[in-house]
Amino acid sequence: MISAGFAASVAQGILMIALAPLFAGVLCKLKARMQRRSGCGLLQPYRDVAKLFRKAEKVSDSASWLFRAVPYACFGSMALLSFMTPFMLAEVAAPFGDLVAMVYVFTLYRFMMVLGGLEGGSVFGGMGSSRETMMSVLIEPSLLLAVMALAGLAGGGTDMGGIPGSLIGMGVIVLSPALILAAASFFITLLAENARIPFDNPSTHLELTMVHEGMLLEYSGRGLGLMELSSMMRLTIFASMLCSLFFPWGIALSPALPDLAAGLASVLLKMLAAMAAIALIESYLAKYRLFKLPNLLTASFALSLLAMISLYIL
Amino acid sequence: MVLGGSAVTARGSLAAEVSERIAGGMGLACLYARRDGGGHALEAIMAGDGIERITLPVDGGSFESISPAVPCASIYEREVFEEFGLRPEGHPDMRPLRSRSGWGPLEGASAIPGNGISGDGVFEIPVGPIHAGVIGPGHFRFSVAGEPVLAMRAYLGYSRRGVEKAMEGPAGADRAFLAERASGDNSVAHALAYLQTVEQGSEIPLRARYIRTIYAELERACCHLGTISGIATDAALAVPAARGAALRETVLRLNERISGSRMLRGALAVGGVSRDLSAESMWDIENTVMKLEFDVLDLFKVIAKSPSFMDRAESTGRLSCEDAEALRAVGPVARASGSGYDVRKRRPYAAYGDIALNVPSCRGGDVYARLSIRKEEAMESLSAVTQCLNQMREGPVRARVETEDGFHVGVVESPRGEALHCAHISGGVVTRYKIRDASFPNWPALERAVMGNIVPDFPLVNKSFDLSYSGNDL
Repeated sequence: MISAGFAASVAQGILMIALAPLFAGVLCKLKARMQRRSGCGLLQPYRDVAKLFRKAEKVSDSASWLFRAVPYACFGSMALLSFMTPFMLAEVAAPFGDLVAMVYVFTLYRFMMVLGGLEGGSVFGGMGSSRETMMSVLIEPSLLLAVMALAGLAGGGTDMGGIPGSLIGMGVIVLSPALILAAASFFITLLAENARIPFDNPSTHLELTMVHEGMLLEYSGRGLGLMELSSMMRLTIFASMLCSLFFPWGIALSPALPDLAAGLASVLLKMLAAMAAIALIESYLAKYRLFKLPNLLTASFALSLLAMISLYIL
Repeated sequence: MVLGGSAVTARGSLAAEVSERIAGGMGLACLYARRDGGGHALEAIMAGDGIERITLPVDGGSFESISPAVPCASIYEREVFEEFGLRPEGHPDMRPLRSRSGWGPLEGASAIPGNGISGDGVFEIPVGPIHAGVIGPGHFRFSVAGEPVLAMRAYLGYSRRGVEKAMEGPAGADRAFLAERASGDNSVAHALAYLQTVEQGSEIPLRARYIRTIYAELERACCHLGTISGIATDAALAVPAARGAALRETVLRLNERISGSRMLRGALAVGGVSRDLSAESMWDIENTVMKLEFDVLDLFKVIAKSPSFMDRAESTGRLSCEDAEALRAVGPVARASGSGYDVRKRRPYAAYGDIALNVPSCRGGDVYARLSIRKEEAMESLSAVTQCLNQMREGPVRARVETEDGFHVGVVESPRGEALHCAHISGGVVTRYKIRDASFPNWPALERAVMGNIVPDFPLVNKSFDLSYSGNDL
């Protein structure tokens, strides 16, 4: 017998995958409006992915089977995370996945992408991979520490499904420095992980500056479509963690329909706010110098460390 | 105003003649070869307060290289070798300039030599000629140790069309349409230089000279706004980039309203301009320019107030004043590295002698210096346009001119710097036509400026130079 909660949480995972291109479209539209352009339609990312799926795939002569496997591994890991992360409902379909597993599924994704970048045999893929590796070394500890501070605040458990409930249960007192600092740190890692400005420029055409896009340069057709879709899913997962784990108010704690509807409405609003924040940063910041990025990531690490410390002192 | 050239025939060493004039404050503006009787002749064009031409007859297939004494001659001598097969003896750096094997630049791309830098962890990155964005084709070789660039070599020539050869023929024919296409976004500048070789100092009606100046300055403002927007784009500063592009579009639309062409193609004609500016057009220009002045200042303020952008732009891609002088860089690039050279000021043409014009200059030499020089120049251009509008009087806009045999040179300050057209006319036929776009001497300066920067900063440095591929390749 499948419980209502399980059914709702599976639906939530599917919904996250389905909505990922929409959030990318919203971000794109917001950025365009801030530049006083009308921008493309909200559904453009869906059309882009659909177009790429229809196109023929061209694979570099120097690439092995791994090159073709990488997009599926990336998509698979992001799909798994979609079922592990609360969105509108606190309960998740994959309860075995906790915060630590989440951090390492992201690492797996990145590792596969780095391999894919190297497999193509082009210079830009190699440069992108080397830069991504440099950044990931700095992202991982601050991401881990930020979510650990969150888990500590929620009462010790690293189960993602349990955190929203316990945070809401604690009432106003939960808005402590620890939560704010951890959320700030998490937001910086969100920008870094998703290759947003100031870390990387997702809309650049300049091969020499690319990090994330550099690794995708050799992909085409279905492979590129999957990689693009995975990137959008990664952004959605990160943003929904910020919205549903760090600021869970409004999330549905039970799978009853009115609760779910209210949860969906509130999470969509929160996601819109998150996208607006990203769009604002992307509009008013230049991309940082590559060797300045460690400073920013160190700041993120310091914030999460402070969150951890304040958790035990205050 | 008159840009005839006094001619000297080199006695003995060309290097000595050129060095002597450089010591006297002139610069080597161009060096090229032409067929002369049964043999060849080298022509060195020296530019200072006047233009001087030094001719060196070349017998046989080689001549003594002047590059060891005059470093900026290096690219010209390589060009001479590729076009005429005359070998500069003792040239220190005979890398291919435009041709690879024969004249098809695409057929033998493998002939591009390595940078010859090796060591632990030193890699060579080939980039281009096809790039991910819609930009000109150029092949770049980076020698890198990690991210820092040890050396960069540019190999161009992929958009070579043979413009110089096409310019030859009967001297009476109007080839302004061809000259305009030497470098697409500098079409007024090249048309103007071409017309100087045709008009040869004959009297052009005053009103026509003012209108030419207005066109040239609108083109400069447009070009600089495009570059400012491009620099912002390459630093991922999205909002100012979009605003800069919108301002450039404002100028392009103004161009279309007043001349019928967004790039001011066909606006100039032999002996004047192809059509007069109506009172409405002048009113339109004045209004648009007045609004632009505020917008440009505002845009620059937004860019310069962004700490994240300033961090990228300051100290990036520094071209030292010494390098700029040794390579004889021209235009905004040189003026951001200490030079004060501007053709409009040194040898005024069109109506530049009648208007007040400041030539901004600074010694920073980095991306920010070039950006701020461009902003200053755009402002000066807008002010020049206003001055022209105020000083213009009614009158004819076209005159008949006679083209005579001999050597004629046209030199203008294009938005990218000094551009040169040289015409050798004999028997009513142009036998050799040489175009030297401002980008040509600036490409080696870019190679210098990139050294020591990191690879991801190259696009930004490249954009701040804003060099033309088509103008270089011709």
